[in-house]
Amino acid sequence: MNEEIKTKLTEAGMNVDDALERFMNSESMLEKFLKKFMADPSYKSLIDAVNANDNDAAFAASHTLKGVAANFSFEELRAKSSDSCEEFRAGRFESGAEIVKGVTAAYEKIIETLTAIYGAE
Amino acid sequence: MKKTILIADDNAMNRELLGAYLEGDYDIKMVEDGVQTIDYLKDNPDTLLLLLDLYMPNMTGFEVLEKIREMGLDKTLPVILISGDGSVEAEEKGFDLGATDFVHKPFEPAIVRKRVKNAAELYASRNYLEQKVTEQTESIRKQNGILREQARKLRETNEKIIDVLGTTVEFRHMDSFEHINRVEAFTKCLGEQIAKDYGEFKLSQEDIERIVVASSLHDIGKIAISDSILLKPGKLTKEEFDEMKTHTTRGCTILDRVRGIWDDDFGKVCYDICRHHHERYDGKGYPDGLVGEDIPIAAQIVSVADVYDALVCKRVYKEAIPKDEACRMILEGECGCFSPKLLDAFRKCKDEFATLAEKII
Repeated sequence: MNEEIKTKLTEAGMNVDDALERFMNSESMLEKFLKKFMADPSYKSLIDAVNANDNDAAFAASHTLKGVAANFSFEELRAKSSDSCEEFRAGRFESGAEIVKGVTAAYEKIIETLTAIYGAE
Repeated sequence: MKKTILIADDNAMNRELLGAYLEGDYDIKMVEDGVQTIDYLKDNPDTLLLLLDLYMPNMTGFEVLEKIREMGLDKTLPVILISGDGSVEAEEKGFDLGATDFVHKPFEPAIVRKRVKNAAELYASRNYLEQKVTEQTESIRKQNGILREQARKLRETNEKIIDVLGTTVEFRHMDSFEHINRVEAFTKCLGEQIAKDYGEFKLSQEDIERIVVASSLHDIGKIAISDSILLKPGKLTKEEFDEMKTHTTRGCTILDRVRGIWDDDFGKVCYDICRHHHERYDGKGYPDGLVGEDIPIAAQIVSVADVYDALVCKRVYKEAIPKDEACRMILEGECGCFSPKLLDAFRKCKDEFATLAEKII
């Protein structure tokens, strides 16, 4: 993992130093899991739940996505997921769904960067 | 052999990340929901530790905790909950349901490893101690059972020996069964009076029981005395009387043979009574001429009971003496010489003695 990649990841919203610590300071381990992140279904589940107007499923998916984002120190994605999660937890579906737009923006920015670095999964 | 840690999380990345932290030190197994978790634990109840996500499809972490408790695994299996948001309510509920600890997202590898290690070690040592306690309790229970059984057998043996010896005395017609019963009854009555009024002798209820049972053997040595002396209707010559006196020491010889079988306390009481029930308080008795309180209290009590019964009953060599007269003779020192304390107790019991003498004929 060279400095250029680290810079790109930082621009995509990752606190790289934090994330590396979480992956036992192993860059190869972080990269391995980043590739898995590209295939992680949490985001898609959230979008499906919002499209289906399913508050409970939206809560579960945003909750999972928040955890996943936190593990990678994707700060923006974690914050937006967390905000939407709290709305869904309180049963405020419309307000939650509104925040999910921010989740999508953060998520797409990350996927775009990862695809540029590692290619499409 | 490495111990197995089960990771239950519906999110593959969470599972694999936790697995990556722990592999090397443990065998890692992964499941995706609550139902799979329970199925795995049913087949592998010796799993070292469970890392359990709270929000999973099919069955939540809370439900899994309840199931674990139903299965009785909660005492031996530590469960660490994977908590996404650190909600205090969720954590409280988790602890209430038996969770051991929490790890939070985002995971900190060092913290996860430390918490897993702590919980696993805590439970391992607790399981080990509980196993030890169970084993030791079982072993103590067994030993108690054996001791109780031995005590019961010993009591039975004592009773049988006394029975055999007592029957032997009866067969020789020296002392009737009734005499033995009466001496026992007088001994009990007098012993209880002494215990009540004279605490210095420290007689417990158990001591009294022992003296009463042992009293039946006071004349056991008479089976070694020849019929010509034992059953002689008239007065004995000096030589004959000397021979007769040896029933105390001969009785002890007989008791020595069985003493090894009895417990020491009981054997000593039998021996004291058999040997010393013809001693006198003034030291002029036999066989040892013991003086005063050197005479064991058990022998002192039985000798009063024995003399009283000898006086009030008809014997081959004499007629029965009226009970009032017998009491007077004893109290005034005409028949033996007893301690003032014994005489005081006897005076208090004499009406009861008379009643007992009437009852057991």
